[in-house]
Amino acid sequence: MTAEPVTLIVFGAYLVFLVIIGLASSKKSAGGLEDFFLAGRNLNKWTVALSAVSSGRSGWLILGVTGMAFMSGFQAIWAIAGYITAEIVMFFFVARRFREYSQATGSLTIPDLLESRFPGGSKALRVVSSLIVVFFMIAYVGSQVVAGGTAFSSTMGLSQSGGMWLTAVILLFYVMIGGFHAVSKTDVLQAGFMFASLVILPIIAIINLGGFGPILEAMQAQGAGFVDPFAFSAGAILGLLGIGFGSPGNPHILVRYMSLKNVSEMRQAALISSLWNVIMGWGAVMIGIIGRVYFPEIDMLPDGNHEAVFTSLGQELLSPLLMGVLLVAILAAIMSSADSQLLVGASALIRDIYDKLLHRGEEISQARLVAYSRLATATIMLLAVLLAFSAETFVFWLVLFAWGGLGACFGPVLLLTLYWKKLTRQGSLWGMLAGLIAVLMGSQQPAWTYAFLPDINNLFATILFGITNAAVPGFLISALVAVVVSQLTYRETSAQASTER
Amino acid sequence: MTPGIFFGLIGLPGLLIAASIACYVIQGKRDQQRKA
Repeated sequence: MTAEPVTLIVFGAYLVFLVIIGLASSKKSAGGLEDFFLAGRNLNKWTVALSAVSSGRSGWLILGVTGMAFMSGFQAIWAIAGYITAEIVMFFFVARRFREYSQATGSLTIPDLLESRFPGGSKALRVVSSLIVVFFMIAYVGSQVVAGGTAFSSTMGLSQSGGMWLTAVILLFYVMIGGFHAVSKTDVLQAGFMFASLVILPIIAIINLGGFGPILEAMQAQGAGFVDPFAFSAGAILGLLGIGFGSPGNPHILVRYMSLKNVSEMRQAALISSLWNVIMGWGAVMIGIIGRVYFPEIDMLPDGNHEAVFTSLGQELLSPLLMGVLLVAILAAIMSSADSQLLVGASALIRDIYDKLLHRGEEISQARLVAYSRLATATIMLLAVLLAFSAETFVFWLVLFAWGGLGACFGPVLLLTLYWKKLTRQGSLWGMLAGLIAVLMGSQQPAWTYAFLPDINNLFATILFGITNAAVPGFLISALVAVVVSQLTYRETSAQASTER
Repeated sequence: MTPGIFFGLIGLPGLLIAASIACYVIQGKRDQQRKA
């Protein structure tokens, strides 16, 4: 498909805006690592709220959730309710402490924050956590580059590889030049595009259909399983809600909390983010459901692909101008996640590995660290592109469990870091590793391990009421291991830093 | 509109919005206590 000229103009204008924001942010991001990676902790509530939402919602919301609602109806509401609930709790009750603690300890990254509880001694916690961050962020960015390539090739008639290179070059330009300032400001723009398309499309469809009547009829025609939110097993519902266990551990969302200027505005930021999340989530569900009115059978979608319902509905209902907005929304969802992931990967390389490990205790000028951070951003992007071109299947294999894996790896340990004074370095380390391994084994168990291990996913499902989403047992196992190991290794006399900083 | 459709389209998002507003109010009170 090649788009109409006006659609291409919207597309082009969006890309030009990204570049302009990158250029406009270049000076502000050059002051030092705190400026480059956290915008100097100087962002307002709107930017933090919208940036947190749009970084967390990739193409999965716009294409995946709409497709899920098209196929399974109300099953999709549990998938979005899980992460929205988790993010309401995190933003209202954890983010403030997160922000204050990170500033008090001078933490710029998640490994920084984990390590800050245990100054001095072994650096294993920082090494392991930063390598995990770098590894998963490269995979995340690689997958977004592939998705960007698909978005460009299907709208602008570029080849898949041309689209991938264009995605990579634009992302790299504004992230490298503008750092967190550019990433968060472009996130606001991208949140606007995502919001507009997820709200405007259902409204136009309802007006076009003359009200809700035809939608309700189409829903009921799909059968009880489509319209009854409780038609699924408890395990299925809890497993979908368990998607929320990814939110407390994905670094590209968490660092947003650290960047708010005025801590007293955190609850306003939390409210904006929560309402935005609900509206966007239910917009996506409505699009999938309304798709059933226009395309009662899946064969009516291109290649029978349920994830094409968003663009197919847009083509059916929108003018070329609004279709441009809709297509930009897909790219915006991809870009807004990829830029944050790219920057977090670079921060782990420079702040955690270069500055805090390889050159520990040395005085390195902030200007030099920013220059190296820009180089690190290019390095992460290069590795992501190489991986995307040479091992696309491997990239998507990694990304399949990245969300839940990072949630289980960092979520419990970060919460314990903030709220439990008996947490020890060993507890943090083993809790992280246990969570990651549990999610890996529960979702992507290697075939060779079946020779001496049972089916881990089946085992988890048997113990946990039929839940097959490995993020849930992964999170619980991580918390359990962190607590048990900490209890075994905690010494009253040892210098465990206080959470009351 | 069946109870299931009502819950899926209005009830659950309404609950999440209500929960967000409740959390906002609770945090506002905690902020006031901190200041006091």
